[in-house]
Amino acid sequence: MTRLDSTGDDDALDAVLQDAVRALRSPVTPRTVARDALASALRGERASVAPSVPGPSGLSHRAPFGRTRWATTPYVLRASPVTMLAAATLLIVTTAVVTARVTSRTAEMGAAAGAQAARTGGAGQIVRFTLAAPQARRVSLVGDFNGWDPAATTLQNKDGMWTVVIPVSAGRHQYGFVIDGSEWIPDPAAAQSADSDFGTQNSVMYVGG
Amino acid sequence: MPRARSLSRWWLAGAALLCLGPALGAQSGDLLALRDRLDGASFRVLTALVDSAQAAGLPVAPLVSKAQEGLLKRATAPAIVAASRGLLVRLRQSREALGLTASPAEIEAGASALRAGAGASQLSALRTARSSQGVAVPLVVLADLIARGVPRDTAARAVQAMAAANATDAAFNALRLGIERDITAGMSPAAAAGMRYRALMGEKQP
Repeated sequence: MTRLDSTGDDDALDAVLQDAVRALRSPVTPRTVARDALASALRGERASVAPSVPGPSGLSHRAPFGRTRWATTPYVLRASPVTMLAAATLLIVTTAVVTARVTSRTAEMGAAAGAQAARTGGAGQIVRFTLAAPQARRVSLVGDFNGWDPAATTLQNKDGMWTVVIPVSAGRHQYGFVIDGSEWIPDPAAAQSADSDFGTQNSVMYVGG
Repeated sequence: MPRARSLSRWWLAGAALLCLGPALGAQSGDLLALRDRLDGASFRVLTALVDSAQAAGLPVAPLVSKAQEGLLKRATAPAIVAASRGLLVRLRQSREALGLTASPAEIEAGASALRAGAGASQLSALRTARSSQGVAVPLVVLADLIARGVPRDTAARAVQAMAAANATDAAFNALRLGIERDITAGMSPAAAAGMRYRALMGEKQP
């Protein structure tokens, strides 16, 4: 802010006053900014205002949405009461929905994480799974630790011996292999098996914490 | 003014996208992934089971996992629904036996123990014996012992006594591991459980 010479710069002062009044009337210039500019002008100071139309004074003006200052220039969001009411309703409803969803998902994830931690009493172990299947083209490991998803854990083939090494949370787990995307086979090396609810045997392993 | 209105619309559209995005993303959960793989009626029943579990404060992840297992094994939709319903019943029984303060992990472990053959009263007794600590690990060990052939009452008695003696989770795991080794070495499950239990309790008692 630069102080004007009140005796030798009357034209400039008039220009500033005109700009400030114009800014005050402008629909896009924040009234607080225009009001401050007008007050500064009345005090004899040169202030930078942001009218919607550049004034004729020759003083530097800021375009409210100029090339580089649009992000920092204050802006008044104008909308009809109906629009604002609709926006407020939308925000309230979506916030409620998001909050409910996040709470639900958080509780669910917490339950799963808690179950894993409790199963273990610790973090789990790195487990190596192997299956001899020379004729297979693809072997997947599925179990309660990966959502029984055949795409989640694929074994690597080396001379017919399929292998994968993965971390498994501590606890008692049921699992098996899927060959070529369709054939279910329990782990022949598993020390324990259990009846599933679907007429098949699941292999059982206990991972210590 | 027209510019202001135009911009206000952009603001509103952006805010709506920001708010609705996560909600829409959350909709595409594991349960919804099953929609395309089950017939409409079965999916509605499964959804009702999950909603019921959620409303009762029971963990829903095991139900979804059970359905995923059934789909993987190409079980029929009625079989998947029946298995999920049975699991929900066990989850409820587990929570009733362990009390309203039971954690999701304890409820799930209790359901597994019930599935293995433990009784609801044995779950309650275990909770009473270990009221100040979690019972998830003892319940998992109990389920494992029964699944290995240890008589239900023998397994429950051993686990309850260890809980009453403030045995640690590590001690429970040691019991399970020792019994597993003894059974692998040829000992009967009942004898192995009795021997390991006496040994562990003898070390704990002064």
